[in-house]
Amino acid sequence: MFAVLLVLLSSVGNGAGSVFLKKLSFKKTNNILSLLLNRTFILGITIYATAAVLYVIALKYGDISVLYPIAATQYIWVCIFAVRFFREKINILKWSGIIMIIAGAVFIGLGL
Amino acid sequence: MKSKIKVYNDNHKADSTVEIHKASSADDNSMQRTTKPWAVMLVLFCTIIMSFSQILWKIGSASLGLDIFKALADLPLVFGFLLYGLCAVLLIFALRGGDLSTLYPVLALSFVLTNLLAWLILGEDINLFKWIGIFSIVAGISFIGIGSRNSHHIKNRGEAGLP
Repeated sequence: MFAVLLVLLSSVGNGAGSVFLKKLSFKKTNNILSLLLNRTFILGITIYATAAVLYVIALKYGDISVLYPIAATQYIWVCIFAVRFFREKINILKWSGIIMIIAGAVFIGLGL
Repeated sequence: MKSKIKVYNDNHKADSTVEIHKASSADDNSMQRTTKPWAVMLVLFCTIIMSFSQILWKIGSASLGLDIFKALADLPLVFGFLLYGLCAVLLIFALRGGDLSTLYPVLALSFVLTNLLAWLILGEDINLFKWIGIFSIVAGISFIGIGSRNSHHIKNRGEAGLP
């Protein structure tokens, strides 16, 4: 249960981290240093790294077949964030694609 | 509360769509706002790096305890995290070429690649369940690809006033 909570937190973190990366991608500069020393990048990469650490810890303590599908919910969070912050359009085909990805993670989890 | 949150968008703004439209309605360039192929390729490259980093985590976490200093000296784990960071940097550039909701799910291919790498490197077998999962994920990503093309196409046609 503890591991499930960690992975859920980690998948939301992955989604949030990608929002920061997308926000950075609107900057027109190609100067890597100015991108990396940006507050947005540092915040984003911190969230990303925390999510990764939580995931690794969770994998150590939880059953991977349960954790895989929960980790795959990050694609739902990303879509919700994309609609919220970037006004992206998500139609029924895209949502069914997300559902299929999560179903795939469920099956891979079952096979492990 | 809603107005406080800033909305970031490149060319979805109402004022810029008019301009884009003038340019695109002439030659019916409905691909104008769809996902760029190079962006998909870059995300795929990220996926490969990410899968390798996950394999490294798996190798590293086998000997992982709660001791932080021991974890920092765990070379596969540290190297795996570095690869993951590189992946994030590459994603910034990749996300310039399309919607977050289209490009990010491509990373789900890492589930597939990780399984293939675990089969090749760690000697884990791929059973029927895993194959079903792999095909489901690949099909899901294809759906998202088709869906993103579809929505842009319909949207563009609607704005142009075509049937």
